[in-house]
Amino acid sequence: MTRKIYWGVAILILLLICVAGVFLQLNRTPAEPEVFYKVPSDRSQPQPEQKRIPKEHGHVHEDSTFHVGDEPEHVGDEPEPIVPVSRDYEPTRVQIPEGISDPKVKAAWKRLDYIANNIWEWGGVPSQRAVELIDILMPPPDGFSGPTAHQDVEDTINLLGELAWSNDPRAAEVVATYLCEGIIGGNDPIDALVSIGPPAVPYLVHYLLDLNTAVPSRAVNALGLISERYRKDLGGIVDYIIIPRFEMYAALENPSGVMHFTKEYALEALSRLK
Amino acid sequence: MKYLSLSLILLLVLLFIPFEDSLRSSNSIEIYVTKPCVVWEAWKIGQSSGYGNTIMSSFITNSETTCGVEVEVSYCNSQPSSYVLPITKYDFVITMNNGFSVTKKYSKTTGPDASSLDPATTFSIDAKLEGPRDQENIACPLNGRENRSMEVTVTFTGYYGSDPNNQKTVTLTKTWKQDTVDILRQEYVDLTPSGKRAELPVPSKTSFEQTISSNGTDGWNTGHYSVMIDDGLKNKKAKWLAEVNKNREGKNDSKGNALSMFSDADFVVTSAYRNPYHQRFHVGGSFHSRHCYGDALDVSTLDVDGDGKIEQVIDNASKSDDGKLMEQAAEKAKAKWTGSYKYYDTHTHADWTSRGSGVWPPKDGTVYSTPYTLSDPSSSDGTGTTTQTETTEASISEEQSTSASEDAEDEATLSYSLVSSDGVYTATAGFGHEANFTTNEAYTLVYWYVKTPGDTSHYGANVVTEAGDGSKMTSQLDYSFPSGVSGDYQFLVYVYSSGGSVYETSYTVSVSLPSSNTPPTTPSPTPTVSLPVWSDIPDPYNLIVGNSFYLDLSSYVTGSPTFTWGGGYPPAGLRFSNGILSGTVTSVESRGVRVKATNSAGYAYSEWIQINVTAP
Repeated sequence: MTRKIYWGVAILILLLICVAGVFLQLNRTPAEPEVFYKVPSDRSQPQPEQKRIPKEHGHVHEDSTFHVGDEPEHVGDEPEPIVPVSRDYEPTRVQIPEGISDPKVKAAWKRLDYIANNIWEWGGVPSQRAVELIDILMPPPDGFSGPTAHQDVEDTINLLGELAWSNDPRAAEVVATYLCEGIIGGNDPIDALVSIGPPAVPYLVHYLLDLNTAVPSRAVNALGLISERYRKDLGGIVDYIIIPRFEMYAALENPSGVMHFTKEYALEALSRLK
Repeated sequence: MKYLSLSLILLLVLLFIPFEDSLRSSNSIEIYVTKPCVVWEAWKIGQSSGYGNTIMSSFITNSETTCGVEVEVSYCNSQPSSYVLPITKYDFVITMNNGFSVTKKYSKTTGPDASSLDPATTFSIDAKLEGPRDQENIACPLNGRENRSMEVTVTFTGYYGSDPNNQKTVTLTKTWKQDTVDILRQEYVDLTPSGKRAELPVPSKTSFEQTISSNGTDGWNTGHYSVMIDDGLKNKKAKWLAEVNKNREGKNDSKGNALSMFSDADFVVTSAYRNPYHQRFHVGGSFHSRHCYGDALDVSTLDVDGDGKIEQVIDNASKSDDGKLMEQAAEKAKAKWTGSYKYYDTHTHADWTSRGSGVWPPKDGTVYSTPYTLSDPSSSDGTGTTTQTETTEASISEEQSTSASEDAEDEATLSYSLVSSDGVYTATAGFGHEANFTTNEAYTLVYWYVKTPGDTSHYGANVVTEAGDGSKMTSQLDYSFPSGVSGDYQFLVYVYSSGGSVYETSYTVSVSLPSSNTPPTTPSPTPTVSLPVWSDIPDPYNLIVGNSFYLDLSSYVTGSPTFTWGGGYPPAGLRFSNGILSGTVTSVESRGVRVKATNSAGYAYSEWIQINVTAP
């Protein structure tokens, strides 16, 4: 009998141990869950970013730029009245040298004078912003100096760059002035003059012929490129005004300073033009 | 037997000790509570593009004063056991340093019912944080936000358990912190424009790389970071140097000695990349500079004449035009733009950016870092399965109403008015007029514009510029209508507020000529007028914070021109009006300003007037 009781107690103890084990297992706090579970792949794809339209203190244009201030109101579908921008300009004065007897040379000078008085013939769009920039940039400064010179150089480059590529041929006078008087330089303003084309030629020829031009190499470089591209439009200007002057520069012996570069550009241009 | 019974009782007591809690609440299912598993599903902070589970830890803010935060948390794909309880409520806590606080947030649960523990269920938060404007003009080694990394921390807390008074929580915390590149990119965001000029475009993160190693003389990175933008600068320098040496080849100096070729170390890069704060406030350079985009070089040549100074002498002879020679050599090396200095021949500048694409310079008023705007999800017509939308107001301002609409609240924080001081909006030519501007938020700068009849520009002429002192909320303009001119005059203020807002407001005054009963005056012969001519202004003016300042510019120009603002902006506390720059300076800074004098013959700018303000 006693033996049976022992067995019963032992079985009871074992049952209790099992129940306790199961209970402890269920009650155990799992480890930090994110360590163990993967995110479903179909939901891990990046979601498209919504374009946010700023509402405060500005408006967004079609080109996605945000501008400070309220967007101009559009009343109905009526187009806003377009105020035409003036095409006015003061043509540069072409001084035809006296004593020219060769009719071809004389015709070349007359052609130059014609271009100077008809700069819109080669296209371009009159721009109010260009007029504003011309007003800011002209007359050019007498070089950069003083405590703000560092800032002024780059600010001027930015303004001149904006004007040079404004597609308004009136920019040519300003760009040619800055280049040839040695205020600002670079290939970009020269490319801009080439883009403007024949309307830039009267301004550049002025600096080509003036022996006191600070940086004649830029006039030579620009005129060489324009002559190549617009030779037909320019008529005899290339053959009877530009090339003779280039030949003079190309013939310089041991040029120093700025004339070193002037000779280089003249030689390069002549190799393409002749 | 007796001992056996005692042992059994003792064993039973010991076995039941772990079940004590369960016995106490033996009628509750709580004994089976298991924490639900949740994971970060997606996130987006500021301008960072990594929206989703990408490895992304850094960011830059949307604009100088706003930052957006959007995060999602979801249930795990499977739960740790079948006894997991679902999340019944949750909360997100968002914190950010540098003075940014949450001003608006929306949280929502999307997808199947949260009680189903479905992994497609997401708990999300969209929040807008707003902070102060960055401090400018701070000490040189401390740039931008004092080189401090900005941080955003989001903590998700999910509550589970059936007893609402005894719920348990599961939390997730994630921190995003700016790395070195983003601290630097933040400068482009923070450097907001003054006046109408454009912001700086923010370069992509991949634009930056470690600073180019120097040959000992080159200063490739003159800013304050270990990284820079390098758009092939070494190659550009090499080509420029080659062109300079071509110019020296076969030539002699003034003593007849053959010129030697410059070595790489002789041809010194004095500055290439500059971080925006260094460029603007320490160098004093252009706001829109290509130096901040790694394609500009300032170069000098070595001290060839042995006078101990670096100079621009590429042929050892023609000092007068050496800047021009350096420029032309740069042009041969394909530089797009060049510039040099008069009486300041320390270096020549060149950059390789065409302005022909229309990308550079940025157009006036362009904002690249657009302010973050939090759209109200309840107004969305999306097809999502949003089951709960919760709008929570920020605790930043106790004055905010929790029931007011978000937009209405935004509008309510700022008010201003611009009125004629006598309430009259008609006037007679030749008489004066006073305009009063009032706002409820201090301003940092106020630009006064007057647009005269026939003026086709948008704003007209900037006649007065007034810098705030941190507390000013009013500004006045005294204006005299010129005699003999009738028509509509527009008075406009363009305001930068200390809270980060930029706005403008205007009104129009109709000006008529004096009535015909005025005795006619005999026209006098028109005198010949010459352009205004400026004389030297004895700058720099060195001031100490708290000093009062008065400069009557009419003493330095001929005739009696009208004065308008010609550029720069004055130190805080100063005001320019009718040719007089005056006020009390309130902060440490150095400013250059100039003034435009106009008469019937035209106009002339003054020289740049330097005003330096130092600490007491």
